[in-house]
Order: sequence, then structure tokens, then C-alpha cells
Amino acid sequence: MNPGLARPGAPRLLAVGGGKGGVGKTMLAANLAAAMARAGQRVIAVDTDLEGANLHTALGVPAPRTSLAEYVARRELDLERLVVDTPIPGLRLIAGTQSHLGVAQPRHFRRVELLGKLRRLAADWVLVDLGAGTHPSVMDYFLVGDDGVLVLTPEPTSVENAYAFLRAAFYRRLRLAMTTETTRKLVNQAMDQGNERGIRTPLDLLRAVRESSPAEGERFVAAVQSFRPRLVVNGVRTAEDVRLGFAVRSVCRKYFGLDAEYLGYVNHDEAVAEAIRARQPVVVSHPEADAAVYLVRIARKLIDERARGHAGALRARPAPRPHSPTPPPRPPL
Amino acid sequence: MMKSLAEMDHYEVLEVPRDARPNEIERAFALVRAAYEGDALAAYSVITPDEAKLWRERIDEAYRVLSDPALRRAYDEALDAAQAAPPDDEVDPFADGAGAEETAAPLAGFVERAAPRAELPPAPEAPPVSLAAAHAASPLRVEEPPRRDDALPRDLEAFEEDEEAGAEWTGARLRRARLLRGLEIDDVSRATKINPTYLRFLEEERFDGLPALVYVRGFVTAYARVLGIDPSRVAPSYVARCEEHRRGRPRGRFLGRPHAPAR
Repeated sequence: MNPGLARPGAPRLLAVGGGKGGVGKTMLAANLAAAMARAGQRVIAVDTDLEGANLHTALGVPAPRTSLAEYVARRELDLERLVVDTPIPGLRLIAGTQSHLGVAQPRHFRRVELLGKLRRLAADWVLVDLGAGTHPSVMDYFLVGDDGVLVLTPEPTSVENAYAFLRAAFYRRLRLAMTTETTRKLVNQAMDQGNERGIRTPLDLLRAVRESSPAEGERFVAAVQSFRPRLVVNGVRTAEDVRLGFAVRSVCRKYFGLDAEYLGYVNHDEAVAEAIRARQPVVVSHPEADAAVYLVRIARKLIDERARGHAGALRARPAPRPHSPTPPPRPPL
Repeated sequence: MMKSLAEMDHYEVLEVPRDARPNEIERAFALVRAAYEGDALAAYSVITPDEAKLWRERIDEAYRVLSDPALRRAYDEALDAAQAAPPDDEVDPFADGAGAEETAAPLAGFVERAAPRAELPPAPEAPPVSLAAAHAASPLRVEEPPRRDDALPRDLEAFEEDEEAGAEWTGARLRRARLLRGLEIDDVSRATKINPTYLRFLEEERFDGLPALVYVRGFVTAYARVLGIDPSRVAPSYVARCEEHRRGRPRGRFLGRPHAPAR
């Protein structure tokens, strides 16, 4: 079975990433999960960070009795048995681990298998909190999910890392979509910005791929069109910070050719720090706080969109969004 | 999608739909233009300064045409004509160097300045389409879509207050509505002539720093008006909060919420 394809009744898989550590990935994942659960959805939050995992702390689970490491180490292959309860009704958790330095991320093939299993969990939503960085393991969760949410803050370092993340996701998706050695090599070359062929932009790459094979060019365009990252700006203080989301969306469209969506923003709010100290999502501990209102708004938007039965919130899309970024499975990379 | 700057029409450049209202075009222009300004946060790490300059020129050109009702009408007709014309196969914009111009033949006057790289011809003096031609084109066209011009731009409606109508208007809610509309405190201050410090006190509900109730009512009314929200929805609710506080309700509120009510 193709892990990218949602079956009817299957949970919707939403991955939260953003490249840089500390921009609020875990905060956003924990709060969206909690807000959705409070809105009556059955939610399972999954922490795929196997080194610095702390989603469990953000959700008020002090010491999860089991974690995803059990699956990665093949000690437990039934994901349902790794799910633990949280203090929030309707919200359950598959924790990551902080200390198993020996536990490597699963290889591509195993990740695909894991993603397929995540889709068979009994829930309405599976929210995946990705670790920092742009390792292929992180990218796969981001790319195969129904929704990939990219979190950034209004700081140069965060925006740079967000693009690094987006670029890595973009090229990985393209490489997985290419079916010939030549075009795959072209994508690899394009990832190296100093390449000799002068492929600098995604458009340069598309041109080179089309020259090599028009059919591959079509696959290229299809892979780009079906990739729809969603942006969340965290730590907003001014209207200019709010506008950053529109600016990044514009760069996504004009430079990458990606139809990114600006999902929402969350303001800077002391209540978020207070909630972390209280080891609770802010939507639970301070539901009237400004940040909680923003977070609930984003959660509601996602739920409403799903209820309306389409992936894009803002305008009609030309064709239903294919859920899989990849053509038929191929051997592990 | 996956188009070079030269292939995009003006609507795609400004990222607005074909039926965008004038205020949506104004706003889209301001947003998109700012994205490629100087060392703007969103673009500097992705595109070179030269590319940014080209993009700004292309954006300016798109705005120049779409913000002028006559030019826009003429441009729309040219676009319609281009779409109605049977396509010469699927024109591959990368087929050869002149591809972009061929694709855009009916719009050549609009597009030629948007050659993707460097060699830009000097900006032509005359607008690509004469006003007379534009007027002759469609004298009877309805001027504006029926939407109110101060309505929120459509791509922001999804962000609009989701609290049920009639919910209390707090300082935080005022600020949320302000940020949603892309306004800074100083913008509101300029428009209302209210001291920015008072506006901050309003948002932070520092009621003790605000003047007499009658002024607070005036402030909130002016503030709501600038946001395009009916003041009669906002002022009574906010003033009641302020009044309640001054009658000696519990202190220690920050941003309109009781402090740390962990539950």
C-alpha cells in the first residue's frame, strides 16, 4: 500500500517542521493537537525527534512508559501499543526519546513503513512533531504527510533555516519523483548551488529536466504542484511580522513555483512561556491568552478545511491534490 | 505555477485573482513589493539583489496597469483575447530564447520589460495601451464588484475573528484585529490623532493609565473606525470592561486576561 494515500476514515497526517530549533515547532504541534482534541477530534501526537524529544513534556506527560524508539529498535512493531494517554481528553501520544543516542533514525524504507502504520492509527488526526534540521528522515515525514506545516519566526536566522528546510524538502520531493538516472542527477546537481551547469533556480532545473526528457518535465511540474507547504509565523509582535508570512509565500510562489499557504500566525505572548513552565499547552493552561486564541484559530481552520473536504482553504484548486509525492515505491536510498 | 517572471501575467505577479478589487490590488502590491525590498527578511537569502531589482520592476509594472481602471480594462481584454486565441501547441517557454515573447505575443507591450535576466530595455515612456483605446474598448463595463471596498481582503477572511458575534471586545481582541489588517500602532495613531501610548494602554488594558471614561469611549470609537469595524459593536463592550475595572474589580490583569488561571 502506498503510505501517502489516505484511506477513507484514516487519520489526516500533519507534520510540523521548520529547520531551526527553538522556533516553536513543539509548541505549535502540542497546541494544535490539544486544541483539536478540545474541539472533539481524536488526536495522536507523534514525536519523531529521537534525540531531543520533548513533546511529552509540552503535553504534560512526565515520563512516557514507552516511545517510538521501541519501534525503531524493532522491539515493538505495533504502533498502537506505543500510544500513551495524556492529561487532555481525546489526545494521545507516541513519545520520542531523549537519551537513546544509540537509536538511529530509521532508514528511508522503514520510515515509509512507519508512515503507513501512522495512517492506520485509530484517530482523526496524527500530528507529527519533526526534529530540527533537514535530514532526509525529517523530510520524509514532512513530504508524505497530508499537510506539512513550516514554522518560522521573524528573525533572519529562522527565515534562512526555513528556506534551507523548504529547499531540502523541495529537492528531495523532486528527486523521488524523477525516474531516470539523468534527471535524478540533475536534481542532485541543482541542490549544490555552485554546480557547473549553471542550474541556480528551480526554473533552471525544470528547463534542464525538460531538455533531458519532456515526460520527466511533466513529472517535475506535477511534483511541484502537489507540494503545498503551509506557513505559520510564530512570535509575532508587529504588523510587519504578520506580513512576513505573505512575503515568504510570495517567494515560494515566484522562486520555487510552490503554492504555499499562509496558515496563520501566533503572537509573542508571555503566557506561552508560563504554559511551558506549567508543562501544559497554552490553549489548556491559558485559554483566554492572546496566543491561545491564535492557536485555536489555526486548529479550527484545519478542521474546517478538512470538513469542507479539500486541502486548500482559500481558492478552488485546479485538480484534487494527489497525496503521494512519490511514484511507485523504489528501493531504499 | 513554475512560471518565469516573463510568463506571468500581471495578476500572477501581484498574486491576486482576476476579479481582485482595487483595495485588494493595493494591498497585494504593498505586500509583494515589500517582500523584495532592499534586505527584506523574506527574500535576501533566496534571490540575488539583481534579481530582486528585476522582480520589483515587474511588480511595479503590474501595479501600474492594474491600479488604473482604464489600463486594467484594456489589459483584461488583451488577456481574454490571448486566452481565446487557439494556442500554437503547448508553447514551451524554454524551447528557445524567444519563447517568452512568443507566448505573450498579444501582450508583448506588457511583457517585454520583464525579460528574466539583466538586459532590460529602458523603460518605455508611453503606456503600452493608450487610454483612448482602453475607453473605447468597453464603455459599459461595471466599474466595481459589489463588495464593500473596506471589506477585508479575501485571503484574510479566514483569519478574521472567530469569536462569535457579540463576544466581548477586549484590548487583545482590538490588537488582533489591528494586526490582521496590517496596521502598526503608529498607523492607527496617525489616522486617529490619538497618542500611541494611549493606544497601547487600550490594547494592554492598562485602564489606570487611561483618561476619563468619556475619552476612552472616544478612543475606542476612533480606533474601531480605523479598523473598519462598527464602533457600536466595540465601544460599549470595551467601555464596560474599563468601567468595571475602575469600580474596583480585582487587579493584576495582563493583556485582558486574569493572570495564570492554570486549571
